[in-house]
Amino acid sequence: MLDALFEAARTDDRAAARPDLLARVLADAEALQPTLDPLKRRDKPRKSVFAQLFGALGGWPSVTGLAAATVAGVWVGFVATPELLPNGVASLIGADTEIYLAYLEGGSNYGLEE
Amino acid sequence: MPLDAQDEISDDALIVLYANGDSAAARVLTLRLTPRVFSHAYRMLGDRAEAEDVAQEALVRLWKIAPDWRQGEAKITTWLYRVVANLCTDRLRKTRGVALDAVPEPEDDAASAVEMLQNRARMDALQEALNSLSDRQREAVVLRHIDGLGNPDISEIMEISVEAVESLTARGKRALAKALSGRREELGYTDD
Repeated sequence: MLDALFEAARTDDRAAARPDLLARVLADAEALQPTLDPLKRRDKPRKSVFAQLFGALGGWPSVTGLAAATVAGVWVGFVATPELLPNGVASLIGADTEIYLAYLEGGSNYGLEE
Repeated sequence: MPLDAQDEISDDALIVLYANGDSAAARVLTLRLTPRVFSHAYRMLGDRAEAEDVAQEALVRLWKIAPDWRQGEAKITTWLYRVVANLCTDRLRKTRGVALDAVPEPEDDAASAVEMLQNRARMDALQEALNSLSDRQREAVVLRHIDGLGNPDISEIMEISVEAVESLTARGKRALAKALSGRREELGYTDD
């Protein structure tokens, strides 16, 4: 009797999975299935404008040099006195002196006439 | 994946395909594994709704572990039977003492009314007898005699020796025979 019951149990309709269970399981399978999303994987985080400028200038070595030069320029601007600077440059920043870089004599025809 | 190739592909290969995003593998695995998982859960719990929940949950765990599945370490069915056993044990602990076969079932138009009633009575009797076994005995008997697995597979699923499986199934069968012995005529078994 027991073997006959086991045999019947193997084909018992009540132990068969219903279509709605299969549908639920398949829905889970599809929802949880890993997807290879090439577009997403290729996406890199967008760089900020600052980061783009930083890269364009050549990265840390270049930006460090540039910053040092800027600071030096500002420092020179503050501390510079006519005594510190070469004569020509000192006279350029002097307010009471009018000196031109080129002085042309009025009588000269500059070789324009034949 | 060609339809005629589906039966030849192992569960291990299918789980790799599934993890790689193959939608056909998801369908084949669902159709192949759900009936086995559900049937086992139903025999363990004796309740369709509970068994459906367990089957769905066990397979959700499989879908989640699929990308990390280690080939060759354990059979997928072995792993699933273990998960089902654990889920069933949890539910049995919570629902112990509640009638497990109280859910009405749909009518089967194909079978005659008498035959259908007798089949139902037999299956109910078997389920009642199975429910009277200890969880481990029931698991071993169902795996061996209803799911049709071999003792080595059962020993792997239950994580016990083959000898222990043999002992559990033998004792389980004796207990079932005893539980059903007084119902032979009622169930329409005139000889054995």
